Amino acid sequence: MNDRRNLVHFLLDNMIWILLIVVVVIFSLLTNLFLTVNNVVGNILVDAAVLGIMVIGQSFTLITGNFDLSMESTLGIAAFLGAWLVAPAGSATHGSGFSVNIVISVAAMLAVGLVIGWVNGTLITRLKMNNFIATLAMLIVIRGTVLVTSDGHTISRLPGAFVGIGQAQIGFLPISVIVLIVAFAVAHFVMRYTVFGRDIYAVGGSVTAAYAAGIDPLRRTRQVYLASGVLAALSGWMLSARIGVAVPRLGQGMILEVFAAAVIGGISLNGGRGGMLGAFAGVLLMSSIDAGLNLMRVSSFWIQTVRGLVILLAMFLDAQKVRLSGRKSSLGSIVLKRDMAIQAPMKDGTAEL
Amino acid sequence: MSTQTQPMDIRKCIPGLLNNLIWVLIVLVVAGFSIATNKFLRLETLSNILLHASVLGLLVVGQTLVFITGNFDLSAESTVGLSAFIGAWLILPARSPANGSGLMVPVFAAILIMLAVGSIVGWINGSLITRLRMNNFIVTLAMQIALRGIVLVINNGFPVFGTPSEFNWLGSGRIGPIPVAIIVVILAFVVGVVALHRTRFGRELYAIGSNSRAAKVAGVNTDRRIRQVYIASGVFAAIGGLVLAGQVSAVTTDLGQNMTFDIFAAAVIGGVSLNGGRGHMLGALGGVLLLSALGAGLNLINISPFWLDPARGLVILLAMLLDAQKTRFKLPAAATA
Repeated sequence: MNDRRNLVHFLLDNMIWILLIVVVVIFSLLTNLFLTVNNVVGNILVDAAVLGIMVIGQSFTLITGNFDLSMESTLGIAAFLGAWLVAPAGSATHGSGFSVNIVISVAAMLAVGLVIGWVNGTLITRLKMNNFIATLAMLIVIRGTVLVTSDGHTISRLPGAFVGIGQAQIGFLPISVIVLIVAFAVAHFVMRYTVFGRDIYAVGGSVTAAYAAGIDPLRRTRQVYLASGVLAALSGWMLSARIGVAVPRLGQGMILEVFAAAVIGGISLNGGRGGMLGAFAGVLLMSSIDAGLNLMRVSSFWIQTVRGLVILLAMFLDAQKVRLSGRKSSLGSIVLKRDMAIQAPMKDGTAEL
Repeated sequence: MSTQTQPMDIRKCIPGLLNNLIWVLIVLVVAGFSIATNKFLRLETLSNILLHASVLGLLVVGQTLVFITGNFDLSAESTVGLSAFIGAWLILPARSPANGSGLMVPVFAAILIMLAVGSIVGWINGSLITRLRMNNFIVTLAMQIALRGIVLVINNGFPVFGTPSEFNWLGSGRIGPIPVAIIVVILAFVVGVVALHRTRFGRELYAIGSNSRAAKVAGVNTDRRIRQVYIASGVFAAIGGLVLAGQVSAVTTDLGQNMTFDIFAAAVIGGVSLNGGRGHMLGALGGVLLLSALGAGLNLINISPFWLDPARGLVILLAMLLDAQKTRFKLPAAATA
């Protein structure tokens, strides 16, 4: 009896991996092109790389109970700046012609990510703005800035050293896939075995309790925004490297996919719950579905619909987890927790003043 | 002692101004644009602002009801597209420029079907969230993606052209000199204000938003109310779709796309809290007017279209920054009380 309950709980807790296996098996039965090294490494994992780096950054902010909507625009501006620095000048390539060293270009990109993360964190923790609206406004402002400065032009002819992270391979593994795996391993370690990780779970669980336990919730919040900014910049480099050009709208519309992958992977939008391994599975699930539907030559119109339905299905199963494991109904606790998470730091902040 | 009372009086003024911040901002924006260009303060421009505000306003009324309960409805923009598309598609012939279904459904019946589509979408959202306990953000996000996909699938991505004038009446008709769309949005806000601030229904929404467990204990059927606000949001989105399609007498597959951010921004600038339980329907109206005035004004002063978005983003940031100071000023008072 007890064993059976344990089994049910084990299955429910690892729901996302079971879903992933089910999806992979179904696609493998439908087309023999799916379970090939070419598709798994070349399509699914390469596709997952950029999304995955974004999801790591977003998971940090989500676990503290915050949002970072601006990530997709940070990706765009970082890629644009980096490409502009290294590409040749001219009416066809639209670069700066400085052909700066690749290291400096990458450093500049990461610095842009840091600055944006710092602005987000400052607006939210020091100026007490709503995190959703602050990062939404940043999303609009940054994308606009790229469109204005680029005048709508695409930067092309990026040098080999710059595009290496997106196109080169070590053995049969693309570098971007190695980056993805290393990044998730590091993120998992940070979340599970460091003070930083424990602190941000505490902040997401209850800001007031975290504060009482001697954690500085506002400082931790600023730090996660720095992390999401840098990781968005990194994925900007990886994405522009993969496609070999930087378009002004690079990454636009991506943020919803990032949220979907994180939440399917078990990261709670209310903070304090979820882990990096689950998020990794969420990323793999999203890119497996895309690759599978593409391989089966499903009309692109259907891909959107199917994607929406799969997200719904995954969330439906996840909701049953809460039900079966006998926790409190999600709705009440969500509202309570969210109120605390957002109002408490304001009180803490003024108490400090 | 008298020196101490004077700063007290100024501080008393500040909360009053901050509480009506949105209207102060609108006055500032209108004054600023009127000085910058003499084309702004004309009847034609003002009528354009209201026309542009009409679709956004309809969606914001529905979204505000959802926000007050502490939920989100990200799917509204796709409901706009889907309902308008189905309505126009049912009416029009299958010939090439129109690309309709050829079913030639009467306009009146098509409009009823549109409203039904809106309420069904709302009912599905509400049921998934309250009965199956799914996360409201993700449910409505997935609906947004899936509904937009359905619009593309119905007609293989072809837009529908040339809807009849009866269908367009709500979007481009006039009663005397006044556009019908403006009357519709005013009516919608009247309904919204009455429902939210004058009825038991409205009081219960606030109760759910500020503390859903307490509301339940107090005898509120929280799940039923949440389903109702989602249905309301779906119906308002369907009406918005009818107005939007009527303005251009065509329905493209991306009708309404990316409106969610505007809807959220308008409501939140207007003082509606994303955490539920706080905000006023008239404040949301202020947010809609501010965004529309801003869009129209920026267009008139001939700035590069690329600058439109950053300028709007900066104004949203500024408004929210001021709004955040509101809580700051109020807290010491609350602490002493």
